[in-house]
Amino acid sequence: MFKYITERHILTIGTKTKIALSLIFLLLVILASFFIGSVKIPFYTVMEIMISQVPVLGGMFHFHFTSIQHEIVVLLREPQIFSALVIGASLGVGGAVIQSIFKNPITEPYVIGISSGAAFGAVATIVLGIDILGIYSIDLMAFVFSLVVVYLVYFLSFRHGKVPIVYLLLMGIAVSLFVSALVAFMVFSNVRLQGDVFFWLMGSLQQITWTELGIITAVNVLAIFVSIIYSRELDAIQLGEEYAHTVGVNVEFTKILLISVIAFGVSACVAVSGLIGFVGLIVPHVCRLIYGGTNRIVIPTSAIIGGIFLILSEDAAHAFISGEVIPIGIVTSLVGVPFFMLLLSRLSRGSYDA
Amino acid sequence: MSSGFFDRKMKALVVVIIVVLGALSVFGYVSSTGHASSSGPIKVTDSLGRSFVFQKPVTRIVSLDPSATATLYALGAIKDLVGGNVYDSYPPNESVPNVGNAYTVDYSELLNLSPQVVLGYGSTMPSYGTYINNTLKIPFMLDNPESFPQIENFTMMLGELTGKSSNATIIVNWMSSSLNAISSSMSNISTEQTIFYYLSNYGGYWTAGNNTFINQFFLIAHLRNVASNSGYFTISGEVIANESPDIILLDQYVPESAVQTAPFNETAAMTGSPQKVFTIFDDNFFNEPDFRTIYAIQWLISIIYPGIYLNIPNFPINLGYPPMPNA
Repeated sequence: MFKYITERHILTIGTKTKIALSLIFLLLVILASFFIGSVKIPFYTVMEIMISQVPVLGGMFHFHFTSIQHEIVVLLREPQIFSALVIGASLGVGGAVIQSIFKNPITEPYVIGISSGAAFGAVATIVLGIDILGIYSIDLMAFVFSLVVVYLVYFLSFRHGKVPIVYLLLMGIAVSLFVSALVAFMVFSNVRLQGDVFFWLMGSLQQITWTELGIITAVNVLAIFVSIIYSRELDAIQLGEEYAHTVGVNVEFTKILLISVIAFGVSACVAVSGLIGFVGLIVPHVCRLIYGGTNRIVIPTSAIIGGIFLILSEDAAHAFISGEVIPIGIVTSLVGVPFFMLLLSRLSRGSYDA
Repeated sequence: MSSGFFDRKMKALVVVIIVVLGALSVFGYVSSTGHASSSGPIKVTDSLGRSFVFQKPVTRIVSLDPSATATLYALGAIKDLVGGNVYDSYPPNESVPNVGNAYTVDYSELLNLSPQVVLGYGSTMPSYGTYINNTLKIPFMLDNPESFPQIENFTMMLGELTGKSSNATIIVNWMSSSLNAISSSMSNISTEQTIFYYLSNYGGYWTAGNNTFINQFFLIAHLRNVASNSGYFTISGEVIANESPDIILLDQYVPESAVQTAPFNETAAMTGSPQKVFTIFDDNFFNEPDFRTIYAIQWLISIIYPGIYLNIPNFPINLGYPPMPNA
């Protein structure tokens, strides 16, 4: 029986209000993003297109938009908005969970080998010309190798039936470096494809289809749900594994379960989007600064803030230069770092302790 | 008296011998180089405006630039190439050692080859270029031709450097004649079709806009590039859908499956009959700025305007590996 009886976290009115406001803000950001893009589409036209998609309502009116306008909103903007939401949420939650497991504020999902494994799979597909599933070959290979590397790191870290966190962290870094060297070697061996590899590594949400979005959404809803359910166990682990044992937490089971769901969720995202940095590292800290509290608060709010952040970053990626889209991996850092520094100085007044 | 007489005779003889040897020496030098060097040292300038002086045509060249390698071959100076790079594709079956690529150079191999000059490519000086030039004390010449006049200048420079100026002139004249022939053939084309060049499908819709080498091909072929921004960038899918290009040109490594979904599937190129989606036959002809780009334009025009007959003269120099595609 779970005996975790540390201080009960009671959602204060202030925290509830902040979360409610965040959800409203998320909704507004999503709606506003429908109107942001390289091609100007009148406000009412976008509204018409949105209404036309509502099952019953859509058949009741006669609309005046063109097929190109419909394609831009439905097949380009919508998948980008919702994939930004899902990927941002996944990276944010992944960051919160991994930081708790490692009891280390400067870790993120990529530290357990997700990014290097995904890069290996993607680069191998590009350089070796692997064509298993047509246009989905890279997605599949990136996803598979991401998981392979994560589990390799995990099993190499086994010591006497346990996985000590320090071992896991160091093994993650070491294996990631090794895999990254293999990636570099593959690129070096086929210099003509260096451009393609470089482009993939910078990350993009532009080419994500509804099919891909459906898959990553399903995987990540499950991952986020499991993470929220196990937030109390994570709190206990964060206070020390011995302490977690004394309050009845099955530490090893919790670690492998959460690492697995986060690996599946984040790997699925990275497979379709390429590498997007910064989100997993910083979003949990932003949530701790804004909402405070335990993982019961930090994990779900990391999903909200991660989603908001990546949607805004995607909007900025379109808005920086007319007609162009800056790779999202660049934008997240360019936009996010100054914002985070500002937030840190405003809210913490120098006393923030992750 | 007699000793003074003989002294004067000896002095006169020595002077005559010196003059004759000197004359023979100069005559022999001119004969061996064939031309261009009778006026003295060779002075050439690279794309950064740096001048280099060589006392005679160079005979040991390392090329880190595939365009330079191709041009050296066409000039008849490939025997002077002692080191190449991994990008070299023409002439095929290159037998010289690879010294590096656009990012790294094997300095040991480079020194072992004892080149008189190293040819590099790019708009800015790479770090290895500085090292080769300043530390290894081997002249590192950078070139970056971005237009046909610049390709012609580049060809002439290599001709002068290798003592093959006459061949360089022949090649440059052939390029001018070819471009004139293309221009006159295109004079009857008044309509302007739109084109999208799909450079890479990884990490967005990568393309080439204004001020890129390939965009000049489009201008010559009376095509309007829907990517109107400058340089290489990821274009918004919305722009592609909205512009609905008449033609989609795929890079050699972009699969046709990449244009089967939005934002391409509703474009004029995809919905027209027949579809106008073409894959570049060989990237090297489009990306390497040398005389072979004439064939790239010829190919582009022939697929877009099947009815046009382009009367491009045959390449004027007989080469073991002809420069035209699929030769």
